[in-house]
Amino acid sequence: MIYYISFILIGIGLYGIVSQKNLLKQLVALTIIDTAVNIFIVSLGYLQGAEAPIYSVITPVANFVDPLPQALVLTAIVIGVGTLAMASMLLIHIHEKYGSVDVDEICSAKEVIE
Amino acid sequence: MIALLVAVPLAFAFVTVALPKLSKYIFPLVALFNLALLIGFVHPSQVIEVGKWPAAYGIVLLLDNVNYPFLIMVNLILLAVSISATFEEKIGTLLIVLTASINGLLLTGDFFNAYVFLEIISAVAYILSAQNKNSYAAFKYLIFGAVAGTLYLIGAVSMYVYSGTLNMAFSGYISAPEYAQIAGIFMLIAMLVELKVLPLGLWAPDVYSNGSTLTPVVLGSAITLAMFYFYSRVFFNVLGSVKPYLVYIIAIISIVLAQLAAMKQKTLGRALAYVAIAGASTVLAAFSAGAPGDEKIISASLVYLLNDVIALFVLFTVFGYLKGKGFKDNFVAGVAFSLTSISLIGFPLTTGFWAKLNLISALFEAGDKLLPIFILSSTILEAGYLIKWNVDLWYSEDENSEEYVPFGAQIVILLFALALVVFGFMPNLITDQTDKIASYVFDFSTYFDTILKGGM
Repeated sequence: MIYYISFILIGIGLYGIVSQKNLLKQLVALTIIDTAVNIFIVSLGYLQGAEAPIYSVITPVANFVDPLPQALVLTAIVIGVGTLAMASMLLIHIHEKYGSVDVDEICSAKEVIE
Repeated sequence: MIALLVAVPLAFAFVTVALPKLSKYIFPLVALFNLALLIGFVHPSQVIEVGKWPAAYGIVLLLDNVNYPFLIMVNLILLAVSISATFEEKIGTLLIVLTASINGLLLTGDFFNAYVFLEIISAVAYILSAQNKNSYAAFKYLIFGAVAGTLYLIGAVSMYVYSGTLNMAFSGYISAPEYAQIAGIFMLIAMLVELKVLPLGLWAPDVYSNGSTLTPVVLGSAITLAMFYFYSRVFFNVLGSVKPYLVYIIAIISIVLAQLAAMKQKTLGRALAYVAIAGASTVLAAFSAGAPGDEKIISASLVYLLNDVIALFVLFTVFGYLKGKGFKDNFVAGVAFSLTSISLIGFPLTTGFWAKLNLISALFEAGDKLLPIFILSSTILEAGYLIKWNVDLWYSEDENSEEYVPFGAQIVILLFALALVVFGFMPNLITDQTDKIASYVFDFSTYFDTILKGGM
């Protein structure tokens, strides 16, 4: 079930990128895709009834969920945040240069500048 | 020792954060160190198990006969960039990080590790794209690149699900072909974006034509080479080709669109951007045609790739400095520009001639008549607009222009242009190497045995 949710979210994100003319909204759509992929990866390591992958006296039998996807998602989250920060910086520069983050208005401003 | 190719640039990148003024000197030294290490101290068939975790449990770095020539070429290009390009101090740090990440991508034998290196390369590429206040183009590239990155990640994780490991060799060995194909489709879309194949490469024209002496050179030469290596590693060596006929058709459409667009451009920067797209698409189409295991086609397409990469380095460097102004006061730049244009078109006694001749004859031998037609047609179009641009620039009326090409850059572009002519007289210097790469690129058992040391 969780797989479907993540792929639906990816679809929503892709639709957002394609349909939105506001660059900030495109960026929000991108973060939805990022989150959806992270949910997808975590769900791959999930096992019904299994425990957190930490050895202790309470969990002598290693009935763990797969810890690797969790580690991968941590890395993917860091990369996603970096990309988001960079995109935000670019958006600020775009707004400073063209006075808008709307694609149509940017194109009009570009024509005036050129 | 091969881990130093990643570790040393990364360590020096940290040094340049504290001492940014030194980055201009450290960057060429790092590239020189990498070249010296590659030529003098390491040899193919070396494997490093990171953290002493054996394959297929941990990350491995591998140097073999496929990535060795690519590493030399990429580091040579980065050394040339350090001499020829002008950039701010803080960009020097980024270029050193880029050196580490490209070397990492070329060396790694792990799908997720490759994702991390790909993302670092992309992050540097986004910042380079924003040079000359080109933030809107950089943002478009970021959106394309970030979606491509997530698709690659889905593909890499899918391989983990199918095989229980992220090791490329072992997951390629153990995964059922039908599952590997599904993961491969995700990775393929991601790579088509990075290889700027239209329509997924629509970000490229605005980014490449930003007028910087750095952005198109780094993206069109070093990163393109690394991406083609990674494409060949994944789709020839590990997963097997994924939908080669579909890629072939997309690449041919991209060639046509790019050549027609290049012909119509009124600025040199955008025309060269479309030339870069057409070149990458041609190599990709040839790779797809040779995907069933045709070493001759792959060897010829590698020569084509090399010619394209060197030529674009020179053309974009000249464009970056002169901004489309004439060659009247820049004779050396003009000569280098014209020589590389001639090689790119494929005039006899240039590398481009042998690249096109070898590729077309290999395709005919394999029974492929479609791609040769498009290569020949695009050669005619390319000859038309490149000669026109050369004539315009040689007979330009722009006088008292303040733009000039610095001495270091003149030397580099002239050497690269002459190399294309020398290789044209002695094509064996290149074809011997590309034949060797092509013979190893389809050899999965050697790759598997080298990484897994003969088995699990």
